[in-house]
Amino acid sequence: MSKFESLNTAAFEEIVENDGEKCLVMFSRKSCTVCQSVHAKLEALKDDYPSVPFYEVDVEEQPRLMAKQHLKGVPQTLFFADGEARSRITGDASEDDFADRIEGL
Amino acid sequence: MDEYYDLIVIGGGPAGLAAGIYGGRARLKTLVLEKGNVGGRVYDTREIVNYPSVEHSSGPDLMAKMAEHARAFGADIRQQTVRSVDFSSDDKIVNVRKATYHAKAVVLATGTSPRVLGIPGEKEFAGRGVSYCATCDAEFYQDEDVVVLGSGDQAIEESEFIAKFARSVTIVVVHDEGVLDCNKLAAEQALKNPKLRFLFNSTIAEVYGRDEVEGVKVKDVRTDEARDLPCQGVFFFCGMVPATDFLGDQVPRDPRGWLRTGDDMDLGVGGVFAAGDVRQKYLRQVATAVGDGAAAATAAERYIAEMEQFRADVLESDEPVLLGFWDPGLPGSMEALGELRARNRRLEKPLRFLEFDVNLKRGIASKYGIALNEQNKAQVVRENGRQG
Repeated sequence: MSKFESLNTAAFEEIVENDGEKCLVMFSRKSCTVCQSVHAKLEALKDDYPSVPFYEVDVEEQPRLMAKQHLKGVPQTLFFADGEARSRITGDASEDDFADRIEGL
Repeated sequence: MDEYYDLIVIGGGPAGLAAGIYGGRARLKTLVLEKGNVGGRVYDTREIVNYPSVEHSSGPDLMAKMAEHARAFGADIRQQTVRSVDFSSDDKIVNVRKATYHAKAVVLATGTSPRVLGIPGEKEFAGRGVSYCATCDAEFYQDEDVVVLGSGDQAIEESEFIAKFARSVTIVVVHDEGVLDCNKLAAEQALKNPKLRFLFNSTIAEVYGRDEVEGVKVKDVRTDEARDLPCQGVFFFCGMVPATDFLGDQVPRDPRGWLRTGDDMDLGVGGVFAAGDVRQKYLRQVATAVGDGAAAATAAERYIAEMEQFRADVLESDEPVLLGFWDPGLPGSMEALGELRARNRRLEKPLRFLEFDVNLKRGIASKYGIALNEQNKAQVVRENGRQG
């Protein structure tokens, strides 16, 4: 399984918050099985949305980013535009659910 | 994009993978669709110790082997979510995001998902202190206070896992003092575990907090009195519901959404079968799911063979054919069929008359909507064959 570009705190602030680009950020960790399912789905969707980059935050490496978003538990997929989380999917969902949120940005 | 299969299995847990193995081995062109991880809920299970001949395995390891086995027999396994289905004709249609699949027969092995109670705060705080998966989230509650609702096997097992991280685990149980839904051995262990605290005769009425969970309102079910119980996390393990919503009215479901079949897994709509946890059944385990999958794929194989034979004999016949349906178990049915047959013989040009036992030829009987009973002991249908 390939990975999405991973973000640390500095990169998150620069890309997501300051640049304000439309993007998807998946909060996950290696040992979580549901994260693998969500990752596989996003992977299949990625090519359909070349203008919306997909990023990943490893919450074990970046616990502060998680706390900042008031997140507890993984996987959580956040959809950002203009530096703000516009919506969030907790846990697993269908490809359509993820696609709808991306298109809603 | 349209693709054609003999058999489509919806759901890639043990029931679906077993159906994939049996379907592939019967040389049916078989597709298994799984919306999450291949292995289904078993993939989220840390430990399996009761699947015969596998003394000890993790859920993902056991399921990887099962998937590999299905692939070795030629089954195609894809991680795609089914949007909708149409089972109204012989051509069964299964829609996913980017494709329309067609099949001669379908096995529904969609399993279950955790019950969402719908109490205030539950949805709002999902991922912010409300969780349904201890394997995923327990470690985020290091040295915090956690509340668990439920007392089944999963609730108790997961509570013990959460207790490895959390400062305290309070289990809210709706039953009387000392009564747990889980197996006896687990109950004895749990009641002795010093890190687990039990609140009996209670349920959770609300989850509250600001940005994250700060507590729950625990209600005494005898007095309806509610009180605040501060905590940082709450896990809901209050049973499973069948994952059948996407089926709409395409197959009969019982009032709670479960699929009911006999031991041939046949749903009675012609070419659609059910297997595994999604069925109304006595025991939901890997060991019982694989049996269902095997039976469902075998029934599907027979249905496909029956329909192919029928196509050649009847639908592509040059002459019209009469189909006589009867039920050997229904008193008077044989005589009624004999009468229908005699009536045909008395015609100037009798037609070819084929008999169908509705118990053995269920697919064909349901194709023609045949329902035999006291008032209708046998029934004849004219099929015009090639002449349309």
